[in-house]
Amino acid sequence: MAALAMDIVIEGLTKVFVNRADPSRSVTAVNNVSLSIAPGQLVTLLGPSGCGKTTILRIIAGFETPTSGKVLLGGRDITHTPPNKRDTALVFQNYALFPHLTVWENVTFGLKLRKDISPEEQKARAERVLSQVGLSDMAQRSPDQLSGGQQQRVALARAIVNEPRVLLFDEPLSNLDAKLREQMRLEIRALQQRHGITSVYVTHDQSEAMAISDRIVILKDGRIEQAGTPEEVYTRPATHFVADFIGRANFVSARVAGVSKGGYDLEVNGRTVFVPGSGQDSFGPGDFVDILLRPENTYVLPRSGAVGQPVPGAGAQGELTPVVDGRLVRRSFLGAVVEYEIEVPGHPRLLAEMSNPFAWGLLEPGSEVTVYFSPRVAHLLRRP
Amino acid sequence: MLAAWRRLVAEPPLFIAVLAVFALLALFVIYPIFKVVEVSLVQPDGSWSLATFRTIFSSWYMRAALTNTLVTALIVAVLATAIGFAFAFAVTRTNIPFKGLLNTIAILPVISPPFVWSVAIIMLFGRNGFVTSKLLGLHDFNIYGMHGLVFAQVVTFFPVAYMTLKGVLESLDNSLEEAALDLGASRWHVFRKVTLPLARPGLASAALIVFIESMADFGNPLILSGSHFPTLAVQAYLQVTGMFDLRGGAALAVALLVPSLVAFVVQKYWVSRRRYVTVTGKPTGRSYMAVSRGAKAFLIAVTGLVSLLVISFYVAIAVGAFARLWGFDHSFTWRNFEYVFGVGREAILDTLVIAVASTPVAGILGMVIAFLVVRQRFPGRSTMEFVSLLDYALPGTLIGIGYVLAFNTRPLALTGTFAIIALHFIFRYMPLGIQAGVASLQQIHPSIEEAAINLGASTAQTFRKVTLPLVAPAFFSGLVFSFVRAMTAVSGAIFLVSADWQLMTVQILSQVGSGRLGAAAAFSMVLLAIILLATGTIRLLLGRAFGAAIQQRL
Ligand SMILES: Nc1ncnc2c1ncn2[C@@H]1O[C@H](COP(=O)(O)OP(=O)(O)OP(=O)(O)O)[C@@H](O)[C@H]1O
Ligand SMILES: [Mg+2]
Repeated sequence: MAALAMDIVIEGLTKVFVNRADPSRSVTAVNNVSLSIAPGQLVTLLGPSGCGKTTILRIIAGFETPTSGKVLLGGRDITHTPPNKRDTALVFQNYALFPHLTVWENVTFGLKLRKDISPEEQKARAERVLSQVGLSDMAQRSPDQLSGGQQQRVALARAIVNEPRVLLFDEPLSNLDAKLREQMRLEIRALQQRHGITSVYVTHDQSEAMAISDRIVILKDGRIEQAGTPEEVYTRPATHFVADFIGRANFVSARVAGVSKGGYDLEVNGRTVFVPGSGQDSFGPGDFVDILLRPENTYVLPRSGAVGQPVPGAGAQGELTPVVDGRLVRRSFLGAVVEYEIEVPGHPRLLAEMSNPFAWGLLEPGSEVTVYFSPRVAHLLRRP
Repeated sequence: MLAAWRRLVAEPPLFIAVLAVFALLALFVIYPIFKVVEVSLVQPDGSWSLATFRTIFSSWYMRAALTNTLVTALIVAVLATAIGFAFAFAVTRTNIPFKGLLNTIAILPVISPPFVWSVAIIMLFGRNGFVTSKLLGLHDFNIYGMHGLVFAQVVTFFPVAYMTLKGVLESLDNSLEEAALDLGASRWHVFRKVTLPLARPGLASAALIVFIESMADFGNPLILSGSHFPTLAVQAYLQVTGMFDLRGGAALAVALLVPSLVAFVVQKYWVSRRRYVTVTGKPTGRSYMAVSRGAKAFLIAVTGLVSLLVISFYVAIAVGAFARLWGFDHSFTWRNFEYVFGVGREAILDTLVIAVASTPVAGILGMVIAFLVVRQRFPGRSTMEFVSLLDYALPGTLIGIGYVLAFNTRPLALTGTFAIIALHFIFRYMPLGIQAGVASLQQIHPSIEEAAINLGASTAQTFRKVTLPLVAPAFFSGLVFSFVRAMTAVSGAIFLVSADWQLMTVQILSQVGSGRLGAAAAFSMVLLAIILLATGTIRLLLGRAFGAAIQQRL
C-alpha cells in the first residue's frame, strides 16, 4: 500500500512521560507504534486500561508531542503542527461542551472561526447536522439542560459540522447506559459512513469495537499486538492476549505430531486430532501449540453415549471431532444457550456455550463428558 | 524541552505573552529585590562585602529588632493558627449556634486595614483605655511592647489561618472520622488520631503564612511596639526615612527577606505538597458532630471571646470617630470627619484613583499568568509562577525600598509619581488574581479548552471565548481582593508616597503618631465605608455568580 493512498500514517510513534523527580518511574505510554488508515475507514484502538489508547489519540489531535515518531495526515507531516491548525476533530469522553454556550453556539463554535465559509452556509450546515442528530428543537438550550445521550449528540454534531478530515473518539459512549450505548454506536457509525470521514475510535469495550469498526488495532502496554478486521482478530488472533481480550477463549494444549495436507496432526491427551492450518502458521513436528476453542465451538456430550453416535446438527458445523475428556462442574441455563464448565485433568477449565440446548439434551453437573470441536474453525497458537 | 520551544514558536501570540510576562516580572519584581540586596552588599568604594550588616547589627538595638521580629512571628503563628483552627473546627465540625456570625467575624478583619485593630487596642487598652482605665481602674497599664503587638497581630492574622483551615476541614472527607467512630474510637481519640493528623499539613501551611504576615507587618508594630521593642520593618523604615541611610535600611530589609523567603518556599513547595486533599473540594454537606459537651463549651468560649473582641474593636473605632476626645470627652461631634474630608480629601481621592487604576491591570495580568501557568507548557513555567507570587509573599518593606532604589534614575525615574505606587500595587496584588485564577482553572476540566483548540481556535481565541467567560466570577472576586488590599496597603507604599500622591493608610498612621486617635478612627471609618461600598456594588452588579465565587474563596 502506498503511503499516499492513506489518510493517516503513524510511523514508529513513541511517547515517554518523563517523571522528572524520579526518572526510573517514567512511563512509556506508547512504544514504537506504526499504523496506516485508509480514507473513510473507521479504525478502533482497543486494549485494557493504561495501554496508551488515549495517548495515541491525543498525539494525533496534537495535544501531546511524541517522544519520537511521526504522524502524517494525507501525506503531510503534522507531528509538530499545533492542534488548532490540524484538520482533526475530537469527541471527548466527557463531551467537553462549553457550559456557558447554548447547543447552537457550541455547534457553530468551530464554524465561526473560519473565514472561508459564509454565514448562510454556516447556518445551513449547523441546521443540517443538528437535524441529523435529532436535536433541531433543542438548539437554544444550554448543555446542562440535556440528557447524557443528548449531550453526546451535541459533541458529535460539534465535531462533524466542521467536516474535518479526521474524526477522533475517546471512549465517547462510556458515560451512557448499556441500551443507549448500543443505539449511539450505530448512529455514530451511520454518520461517519454518511460523511465518509476517516475515524479513529478508542474503546475498551470489545463488542463495541466489533460492531463499529472496519479494522481493530489491539494494544498492550503501548505496543500493537495485532491489527486486522473484526473477523480476523476474532478468528485468527495473533497472540493469546488478543484471543483472550477479544471474546472468550479456551486453550487446549497440544503437541504437533505431524505436518500434512495443509494441516497438522496434533497429540492431545493421548488422542490425535487433525486441525487445518491457516496458511500463515509454520509449526514443525514436536512444537507445542494451543488450540483456540471459542466457547461456541466447544461442544459437550456424554462420554459413553458419544462413541459411534451421530452428532445432532453436526452437518452444518462440518465434522465434529472429540478432543479431550473431562467432568462437568457447572451448568448455567440461560434460555437460548446453556453454558457448561468442564474440568479437564492437567488443564485450565474449559467453557462451552451451546445453543439450542434441548436438541442436544441437558447434561447434569458431575457427569463424565467428552469435549468436541469443529477443527475447521479452530485456530492454533504457538505456546508461549 | 525542544518540543516545548517549538510549540511556543509556532504560536506567536502565546510566545509574545510569555515573553512579555517575563519581561514585566524581571523589571518590576526581580530588579527591585535585586537592587535591595545589591545595595546592602556593595560598599561606597564599590566592593562587595557584609560590612553593612556588621555595622548595623553591631548595635544591640538592631540585634534586638531581629530577635523580636522572629520571636513575635513565632508566637503569633502558633496562637493565630490555634484560634483559626478553633473557629474552623467550630464552623465545619460542630453544631454550635451562630456559625454564620462566627464565619463573618472571622473574615471581617480581611477587609480592614491591617492596623486598624492597633488603633482600637489603644482606645480600649491604652493609658486612657476604656477597658483598662475606665472599667478596671488601672492607671499605669502599659500596652506598648511585645504583649500589645502579639495581641494585635493575633487578632489581625487569625482570619488568615481560619480561611486556610476551613478549606482543609471542609474538604477532609468526614466519612473517615465516621469510620473511626464506627470502629469504636472515642471522639477525643478520633480528633487526635484522625482529624488532627489529616489537618496537619493545613495547620503547618497556615502557621507559615501567619509567620510571614507577622514578620512583614508594619502598621501594628509602628503603633504598638514602642521604643523599647524594636522590630525590623519599623527600623528599616526609620533608617531610610529618618536617617536617610538607604544602605542600612536595605540591610535590615534583607534580614527580613531571608526568613520570609525560607518560610514561603517551605510553605509552597513542601507543606502544600503534603496536603491530603485539595482545598478546592466542595463541602460535603452533612458534617458529623464530633465534639463532646465539654469540647463544645470550650469552643464556644474561645470563639465567643475572640468574636467579642473583634466586635468591641469595631465599636471602639465607630465611637472614637464621633467622640470629641477619646478617653476624656465622649460627646458627639462631626469634627473628626470635617478634618478627614478637609485636610484628608486629597489622600482619599489619591487612594481611590490609584486603587481603581491598578486593580484591573493586576486582575487581568493575574488571569493571564494563571492561564499560562496552569494550562500551557513552556520553558520556565514554574519559574514564572514562583516569581509572580514573590511580591505578595515578601515583606512590603523590602519591596518598597526596592522600588525606591530601582526607579529613581532615568529612564525609569518614577520617584514621587502616580506610576510608582500603581506599579507597586499591580505587582504586589496581582498574586491574588493569580490564586483566584489558578483555583478556578483547576476546576474547569482542561478538555473544555482542548475542545475549542481542536475546533480550530488559537490559544488567544480559546482564552477569550472559553476560558475568560468561565473564570469571570473568580476574576471579579480576585479583583475585589486586590482592590481591598490596594486600599489598605501600607508597608511598602509608605516609602513611595509623596506630596503629590498621598494614601489614606499613611495618613491614618501619621494621625496615630501625632496622638489624634479620633481623626485616625474617622479616617478608618471612611476607608471601611469605601471598601464595603465597592465590594457591595460589584456584588450587586454581578449577582449570584459572584456571590458564589466569593463565598468559595472565603
Ligand atoms: N500526563 C501523563 N503523565 C504521566 N503519565 C501519563 C500521562 N498520561 C498518561 N500517562 C500514562 O501513560 C499510560 C497510558 O495512558 P493512556 O491514558 O493513553 O491509557 P488508555 O489506554 O487511554 O487507558 P484508559 O482505558 O484507562 O483510558 C498510563 O500508564 C498512564 O498512567
Ligand atoms: Mg483513555
